[in-house]
Amino acid sequence: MPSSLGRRAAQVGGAIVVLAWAAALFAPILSPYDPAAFERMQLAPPGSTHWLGTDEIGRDVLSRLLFGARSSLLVGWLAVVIAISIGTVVGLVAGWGGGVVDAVAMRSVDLLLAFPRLFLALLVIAFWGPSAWLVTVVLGLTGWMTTARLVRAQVLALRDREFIVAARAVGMPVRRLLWRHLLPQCTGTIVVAATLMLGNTILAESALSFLGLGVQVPDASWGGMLNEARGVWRSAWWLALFPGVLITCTVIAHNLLGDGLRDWLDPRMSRIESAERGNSE
Amino acid sequence: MNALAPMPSTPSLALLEVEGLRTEFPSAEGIARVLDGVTFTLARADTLGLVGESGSGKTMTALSILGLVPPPGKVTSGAVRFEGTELLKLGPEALRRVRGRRIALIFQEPNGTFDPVMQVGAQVAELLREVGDVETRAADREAVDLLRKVHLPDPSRVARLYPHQLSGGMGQRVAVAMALAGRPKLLIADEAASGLDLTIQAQIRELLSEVQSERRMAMLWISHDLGSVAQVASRVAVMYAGRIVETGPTRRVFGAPHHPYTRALLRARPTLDRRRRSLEALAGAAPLPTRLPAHCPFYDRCPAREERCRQEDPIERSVGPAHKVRCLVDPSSGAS
Amino acid sequence: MLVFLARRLFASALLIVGLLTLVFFVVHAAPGDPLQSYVVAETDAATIATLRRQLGLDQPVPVQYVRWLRSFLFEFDFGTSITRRQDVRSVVLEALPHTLRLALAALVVRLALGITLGVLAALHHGRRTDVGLGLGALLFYSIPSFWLGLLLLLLFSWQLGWLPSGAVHSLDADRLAWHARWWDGLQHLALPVIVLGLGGAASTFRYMRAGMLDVLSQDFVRAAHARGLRRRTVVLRHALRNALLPVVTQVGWSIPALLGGAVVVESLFSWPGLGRLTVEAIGQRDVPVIMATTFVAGVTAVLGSLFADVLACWLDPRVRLEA
Repeated sequence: MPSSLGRRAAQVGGAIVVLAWAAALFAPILSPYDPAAFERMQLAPPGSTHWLGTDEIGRDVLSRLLFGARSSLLVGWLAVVIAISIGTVVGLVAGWGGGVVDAVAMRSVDLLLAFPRLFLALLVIAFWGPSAWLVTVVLGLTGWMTTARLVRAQVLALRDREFIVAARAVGMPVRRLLWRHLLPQCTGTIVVAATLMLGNTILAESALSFLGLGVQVPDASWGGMLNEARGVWRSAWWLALFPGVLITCTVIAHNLLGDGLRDWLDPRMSRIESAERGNSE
Repeated sequence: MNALAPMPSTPSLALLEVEGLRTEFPSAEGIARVLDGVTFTLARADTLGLVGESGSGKTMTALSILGLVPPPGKVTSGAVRFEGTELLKLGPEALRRVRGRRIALIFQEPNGTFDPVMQVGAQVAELLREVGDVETRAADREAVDLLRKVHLPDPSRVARLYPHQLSGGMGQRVAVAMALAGRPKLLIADEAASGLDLTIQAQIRELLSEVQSERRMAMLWISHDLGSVAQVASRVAVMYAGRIVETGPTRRVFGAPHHPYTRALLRARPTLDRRRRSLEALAGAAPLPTRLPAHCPFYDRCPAREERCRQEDPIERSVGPAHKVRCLVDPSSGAS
Repeated sequence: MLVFLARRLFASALLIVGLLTLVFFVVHAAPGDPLQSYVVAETDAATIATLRRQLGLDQPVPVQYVRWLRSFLFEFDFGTSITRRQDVRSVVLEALPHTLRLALAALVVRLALGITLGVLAALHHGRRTDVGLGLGALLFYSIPSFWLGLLLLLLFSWQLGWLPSGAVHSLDADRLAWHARWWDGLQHLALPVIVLGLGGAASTFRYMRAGMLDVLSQDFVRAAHARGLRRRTVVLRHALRNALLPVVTQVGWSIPALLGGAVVVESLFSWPGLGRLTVEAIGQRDVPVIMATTFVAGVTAVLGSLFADVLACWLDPRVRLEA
């Protein structure tokens, strides 16, 4: 996209992300009703009392959507934080250590990348039992690989730079070197990797919730709401429309933000590379 | 072998006439005028050398002639007449038909100019079909013939090679073969022998002159290497800051240069002459294309400058038979 | 080329063993007794002990690992399904072809759309077509596949009645003539394939566009123009072929994601493939099936990526002629 349009798009994306977070954080205040409370008005279409209608048990859709934002955003962002933490550590250690450590780390990366992420998540969920926390951890544990590769590449590139060599010559302990000198250089790459991952992670969480294996009832989640409404889709169009629209908009916003940040922080990353980073459908 | 190029033929109907060619690029710092009124002519079957330092606009001249200026750059004024046709006014399809068929271009790094995933023979054959109007069935065979003509050993084997398997010299021969596919009347060689081993350089120059005389082709030999120009070109044009500052028969321009820049160029060449111990480099740098002065662009570095040089922009004047200079100063009077 | 092939095959073999190990590890690291799903609450201790011995669960973990590895890899014995009372291998083999068919068809859709539109966008770089396609790609990249499927179902199946809403064949498909049956199959395949293919098409589109723009700025492309070749020749013959090389590799590496996406699509459209099998098995706590399906999915992904890697290597003469 031409850069002026791209910049504007990134700003719009960022604004929507902030809005989503605001909705999530202030859900208890913003919700007109208790999301778990069910009333006699079942399957009510959008109207004056329930602005976005009610579901088949009588819960207010708008309130559930607001609380659903919490699920999606918390799980998504937390999973990404876990993923980049693991990935950064692995990348630093592998890039710096070299040899066996590097080989082991990179083979692990290859192994985990070869496994379809969703199947691995299903495997873990099958044996540990579905829950929002588990999904967060699993998505984090299956998302660190790209970050690790990126950080490792940065470390390898920076290893022989003068300021690093000088620090080593002075006898600086490795841990301090990695933390105080190498890590700051990688922040740009890490931020870009993180934001590009957010969209996919939110999609993964909603998919798992849709399958009933993510955020569990009665907690609200957008994917879960779509699943719950499966039986009544044809008559209650509002139950099928709003959660999906919100997921899509949120993911679009995160992707726009990610693209914009990439252009700003790491323009050297070619378009090919960044298309690759974000790709894990 | 041939120490100096022959004297130029009598000025016949010019094959290529470039007049006042101006090419500009918009940039963050303003308009960059990369070509500032380039003017020269080239006669049929003749060879004109175009010399100058990097950035003087030599390559851009070749690109401008063929309408290959990369956007956002544009040719903003001037005329380019080839065999009477005004090239700058041609539409894109007509211009495409000029490339390869009437004017061909060869580049400095030949192997980077070939499709990396296609055998070179197939690429030559493709050109023969599209630009040489050869029948499809005959193209492969003629491609091998063409490779043989440029003295590639075992041409049918070479035809099956991929570009990354060619050496620099081989690649340049293939490039020459490609250039000949359309039977052009003019060959523009942009640093065609630079970056190769010296012996290979000489071989390529020989090949080109052989091909030239056989096909009565004119050649525009672009180079920063004065020695190669002296070997190959009967006439030479010296470029500085996007314009031609001196042009004339090679012997005269190199033997008795008029323009202070030409003199400086000649002085700066390493020589085995015992009398000179150090290389004379020219201080300073050429003006930026975004900040061309209204007066002579060589003023700041010119050892022979005068007060009037700062006030007006010199126009071309004749200083001998077919020898023109763009300078206000007469070298016989001032210091040099 | 042969050296490359051998090395990749070896790496893939290692990966498969690694997958098995990972699956084993996950299952055994989980809290709780794997035996729980096999037994009903009232079973007495003696039966439980016998069962434990039968399943080999009384052995130390490393021994179990080796035994399990051997039965999976060399005997292809995946055990017996708890709920279906038939051996897991046949259950999985029944489901696998459906997933493969879905995935391959989706791959075709994805490549066809992604490549053509990506090239188109690159050729109209910066203009309205490019921006429009880019926005479309962003949309399909961000939309959850199950929601897209739902919307398409609503439109094409329930509103318009053009396409069926699930399953591989209509119930009476056996009674149809072969061409009618084929058409019926195609109708059932249409929506799931579109849903699975569109998301992937968006990412292939981005990749293709980026790659094409890169190639178009390279020296040999400008030289080809300078030599007088027609624009169509330069773009389609030379630029495109070079730009396709990294796309093949990228598609190969996204096969795991494709299989993952199949899980959701299969669940939505009641498609009897590996994904839906896994989800059902989780609900039924059918341990052997879960282990087998995840493993098979992993192996399929590895083999798919291997194939794509080899193909990419073969297509690029610079790599092919290396060894």
